[in-house]
Amino acid sequence: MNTNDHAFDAAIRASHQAALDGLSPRVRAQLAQRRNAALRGQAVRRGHGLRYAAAGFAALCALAIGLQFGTLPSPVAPATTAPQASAAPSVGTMLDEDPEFYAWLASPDAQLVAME
Amino acid sequence: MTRMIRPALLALALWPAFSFAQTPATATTQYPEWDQLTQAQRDAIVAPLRERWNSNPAERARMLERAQRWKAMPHDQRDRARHGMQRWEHMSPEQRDEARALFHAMRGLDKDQRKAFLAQWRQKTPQQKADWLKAHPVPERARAGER
Repeated sequence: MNTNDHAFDAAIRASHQAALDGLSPRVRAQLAQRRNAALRGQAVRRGHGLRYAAAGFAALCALAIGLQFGTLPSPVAPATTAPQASAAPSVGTMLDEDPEFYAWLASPDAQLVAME
Repeated sequence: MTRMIRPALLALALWPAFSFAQTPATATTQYPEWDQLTQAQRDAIVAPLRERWNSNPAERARMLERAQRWKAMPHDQRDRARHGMQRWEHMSPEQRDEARALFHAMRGLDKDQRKAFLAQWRQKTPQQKADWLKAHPVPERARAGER
């Protein structure tokens, strides 16, 4: 860089400083904020992107696994549902005996003479 | 690098959900009221009753009579009868005979007589109960419904 270049550079810097001096403090503060944000932005955004991806991954995994466990029958379920299904009287049983007899079987009198 | 990681993470995250979507639904299916069932569904439900009706010509009058009595029962008594029916289905043939005999023995008794009968019954030994059941057999008409 020769002397002319130095002089040109100094002149440009002086002009830039003069232009900055002409700006209001408010505008200068806004420019400084935007500059700092622009310099920070790339790194910050990259960091947030990875965090969002990790959080999204965890949330989706939890949702998918939760949905599967929520709908699949638990190991206890067959043991509890099978007796209920077998406990449901068949249609034919309804007409095997007098309905009054069935009602009596559920009465307190019949409970007192536990036959089972 | 991030461009490669993100799709990979997304694919991994969506894989369980995708596999879940592939599995058949195991949740309990909610069926509509009788009037909304298809004819095929109604036929499937009624089939055991139809078979019972067709294979027992001598029982048809009794089946119809019982069906009409079910229909005429008050709602709360019908609920009790359903509970009693569940109890019935878990009884052995001997227990059923005992239940029938006790029902017919207590049927005509008033409240105090039933109370006294039950008190006596509970004091009987198994042998005394067996003797009583022999002495008070179930009326043939009540037994006729047993298959």
